[in-house]
Amino acid sequence: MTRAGINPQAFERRSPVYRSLTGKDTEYVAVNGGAVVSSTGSPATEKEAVTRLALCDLSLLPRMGFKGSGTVAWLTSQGVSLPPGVNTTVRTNDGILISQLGMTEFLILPDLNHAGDPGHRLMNTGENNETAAAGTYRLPRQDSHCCFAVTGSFAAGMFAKLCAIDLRSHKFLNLDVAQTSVARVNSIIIRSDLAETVCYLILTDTTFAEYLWHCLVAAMAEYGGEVIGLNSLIRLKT
Amino acid sequence: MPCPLNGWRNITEFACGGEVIDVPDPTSCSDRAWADYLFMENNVRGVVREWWLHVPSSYWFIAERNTATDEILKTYPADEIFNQQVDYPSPRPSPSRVEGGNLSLPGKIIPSPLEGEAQGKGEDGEI
Repeated sequence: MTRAGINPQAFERRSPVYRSLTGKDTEYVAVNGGAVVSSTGSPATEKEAVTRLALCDLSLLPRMGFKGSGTVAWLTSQGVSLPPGVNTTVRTNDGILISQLGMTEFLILPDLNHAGDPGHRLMNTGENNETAAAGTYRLPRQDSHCCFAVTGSFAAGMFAKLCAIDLRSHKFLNLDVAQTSVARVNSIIIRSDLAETVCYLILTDTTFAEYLWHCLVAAMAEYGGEVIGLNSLIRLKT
Repeated sequence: MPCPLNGWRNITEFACGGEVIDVPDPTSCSDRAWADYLFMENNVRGVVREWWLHVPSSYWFIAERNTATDEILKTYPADEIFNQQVDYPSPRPSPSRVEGGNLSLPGKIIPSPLEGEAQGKGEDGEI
């Protein structure tokens, strides 16, 4: 990582919502070939918001998907643990999240506890080949999907306005996955708590990123939610 | 509607893909039978078996629905009824392939678009 003074437009890779994050106090860090917002202003405000209700753009962090009849065997051969079933997630010892989206489809995300680390080796598998192994096909998710994190105790209440799934903590458990409609946009919701703070990751098609971002900001207003930077999430790590 | 993969979801998250019907062998059926398969619906009043898609997860499955009451009776994964690989025999050679291209020469038989489509699919194994 590098420190502040970074201009996101100086990078070829930019978040689809970077224009909405250009406040005068915004600071960035260079991650994965782009500038990720590290702070939006007052650390005290962010620290209070992250446990109450906050939104963070993680679109530039690495992610990858794999699909196909040989995927389970191939991932197992890579020495990573697999989720217990469809629509669940596992946090591996390697510091990544593996979500199972279908019988033979998996999504790999960086664990926010390690959000600033370089991409895991699985994120770069087979970049020069179409397949990672027989019956295993890469689904690059870096540019096809945006990724936001919504944290805090009011997050489930906020989502109740946008989505039909009950995301309350006792109904939608940590590491559960829901593939559903959020603000009428097809989305993947993954609960991945940071220490004691509830955290939902939302992935949706990049073309809807700006629309969904503004929907989330508007929905948060009722609860006094704030847009925060990556550093506030990293501070929560266990 | 209960999705076999995702559980109960609002019906707005689903799209209907039409009736589950047998695919005629494209290499041997008549053009009329193939067109009937592609374009015509049985439109039965009563319980039917349909393809449905859970759109957010792109998951196709089978639902049994009463078209008179719009009641969904049962949903299950497609592999409960589609559990075998379907292999059609190789397509019969068309006149255009035997005699070279689609040239409109006098006296040559030009295959219909439907026939050519069916043969192309069979040859690529993309049924």
